[in-house]
Parts: sequence; structure tokens; C-alpha cells
Amino acid sequence: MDRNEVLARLRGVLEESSTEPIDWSQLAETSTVASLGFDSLSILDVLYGIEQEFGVELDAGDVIDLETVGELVALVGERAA
Amino acid sequence: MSGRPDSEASGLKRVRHAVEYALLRVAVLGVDLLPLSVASWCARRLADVVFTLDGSRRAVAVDNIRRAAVETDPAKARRLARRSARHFATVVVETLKARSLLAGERWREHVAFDIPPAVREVLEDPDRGLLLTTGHFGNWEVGAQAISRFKPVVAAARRVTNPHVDSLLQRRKPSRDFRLVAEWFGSPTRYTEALSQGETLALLIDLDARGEGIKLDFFGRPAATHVTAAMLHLVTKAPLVFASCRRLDTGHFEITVSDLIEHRPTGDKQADVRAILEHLNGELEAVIRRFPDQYLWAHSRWKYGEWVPPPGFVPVSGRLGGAGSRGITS
Repeated sequence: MDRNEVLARLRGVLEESSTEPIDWSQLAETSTVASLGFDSLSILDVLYGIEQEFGVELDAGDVIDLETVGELVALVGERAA
Repeated sequence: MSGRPDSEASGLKRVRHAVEYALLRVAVLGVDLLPLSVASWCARRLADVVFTLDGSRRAVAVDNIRRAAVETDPAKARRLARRSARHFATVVVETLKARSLLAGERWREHVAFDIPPAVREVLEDPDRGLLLTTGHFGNWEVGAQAISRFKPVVAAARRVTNPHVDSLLQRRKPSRDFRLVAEWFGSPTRYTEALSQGETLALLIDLDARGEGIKLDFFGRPAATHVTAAMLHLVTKAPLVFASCRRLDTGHFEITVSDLIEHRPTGDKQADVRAILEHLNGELEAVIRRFPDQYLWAHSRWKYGEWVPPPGFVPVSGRLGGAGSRGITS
């Protein structure tokens, strides 16, 4: 699975988990996680969505310190391989 | 002058905090000096006075009891509300005395456990976390402290607004294996850390979720319900149970733990969350129906009455989005 495919599939997961109305067509690997409108509960929604979309179980600790969407793409791609 | 009202309000608040703290210190001193039975008797009489004088809280309790159809007759509902107030007063005294009640091997004289073998296995495995849910039933504080005999318990609580009272409560923390952690309230990431470290995470499932969570029936009435317990189970796969700590008589309890509740994610998150929370609510309702005077009816579980979702409300995790869109920062 290449990074573009991971990013495209992640977009849906992140959009469903975000608390803010955001223009998701602008999402890129350079986008910061902080700009995506996640509240403290959203992390669980993201982890649920990633498991359903990619079959990958991540810990909250794996993703909480990620700064960019690209880092999340890399993590999910690595675990899904 | 614009600053005067603020400073007056601040001064009044300081006085109020000081008075509250002084009253609490006297009460705690009394509880410490008196035997449990005497302190509990005094607390119940005080509860009678408060029940008589505090009309608004009494009305909430009676209304909750009647609307839940646990007792529809007004006079019977009022008597049940009074017993519930006495029960809560006893909870406070028992909680303040819990450190001595449960010290060393004394806990065996005060607590009986009814725990299924599969749950006991989890409790005795230091590497496995446990999601333990309960409600404002029986003595939930003593229950959590007793469970910490098996494995450390972490419970989140809102910090008390009075800093002096908060400091006193922190100083009276019962044991190193039972931690009330104010800072963690509403912080699922910290919850997952506790579970991954093999600790028990204790959550109250009947807190009013206000604008968050989902609308779920509790005693047939819609209530704003936190989804954290369900989401934690779905994401972490941590074993999930419901537990109750029923008072047998003052200072003596029976802790009953459900079988492991297992629900695997199906891809329909809302349905998964709803199924888990309905199961947990059902467990809580069942034990309350058996022993209704041990439930805290005066707390505002159905704060919104008929519960009208706020604009933009999307069930699960409280999505309160506004109009328009926001840019993404790169």
C-alpha cells in the first residue's frame, strides 16, 4: 500500500473523528495534527477508525505525540504492511 | 470603579471557602473521633435535617424516583428519597473511615466479594488492565478501594473548586493502590496508559455528559451518557466489567462483579457504543431496582428533562460543529 493510498483512506477516518468542520480536500502529509480539530475523546475515534479501515491496532500512546499527518501515514503504512 | 465587583466577589468566595473548609474540618474531626456506628448515626440525623431544609435537592430526588417509576406514589417516593439521603450521608462517613476499615487484613471483616473466575484471573494478573464501571450506587468509593487489594485502581474525579477542601481531600487519600486523579478527567489517552500498565480503571457511568456523549435511556428516560468506557473497551480490548458495592449494614459491604463483557468492533461505531452502554446501564438499573434506597437519587442524572440535543449534535463523542469550514495548517 503506497503512502498516497494510506493518506486517502486516512482522510475518511480523520474526517469522521474530527470535531471541527474542515476543508478535508486540503489534507496533506504536511498538515499538522493540531489543525485537524481533535478533542481529547477524538483519539479513541481515530484509533477505532484506523482499526476498521486498515485492520491495524494502535495504542493511543503511538499517535498522541505525532505532529504531522505524514507521520501518521508512515505509522499506519508500516503496521499495515 | 470596574474592579470593585470582582474584588468583592473574590473576597466573598474566599470567605465561603474558608467557612466550608472549617465546617469540613470539624466534621472530619468528629468522624475520626467517633466510632463508625455513632458517626453514621449522627450523619443520618444531619441528612434528615438537610433533607427537610433543602427543598430543591429533595424535589430532584423525588422527581427522579417517580419518573424512573421506581416508586410512583408521591409519599412513598419521598420516603425513599429520605432513605437515599441517609444512605449518602453514611457513604460519606464510611469513605472518610475507609482507610482504617480496610487497613491491613481488616478489610476481610468488612468486605465480601462475589467475583466470577474469569474476572478474578484478570485481577490477579499484574499485566492485564481492567475497565471497571459502576454508578452512584452503594458505596462506590469503598468498592474501588477494596478492589485495589487485587490490583491498583485509578479513578478520575473532577477537582473540588474549593482549594482548601481539595487539599484536605488529597491529604486523606486512602492508599497508594487507589488513586483519585483529578487531572485525568476526560483524558482517554491517560486512561489507556493506566490500562496498558495493568491497572484497574474505575469509571462512573451515570455522570451527566451534558453536550457530549450519546442520548441513552436510563430507567426509560433519555440521559446524556458518556461514551468513554465503551470506546476504551472497543479500542484497547481491555476486559470490561460492571461492579456494585452494596452495603449490608454500616461498614459492611458485598462487592458483586459481572462476568466479562466482551464486544468486538463491528465497524458500526455508534451501534457498538450503544450496545455496550445499554448493557452497562441495564446492569446498573437492575441493582438499583433491587436496592433503590442505596442509589443517589438526588444527583441530576436527567438534567435536561426531555433532553433536546444541542444544535449540530452528532451522537458519539460529542460533535458540536458549527457552520462553515476551517483551514488545515501545514
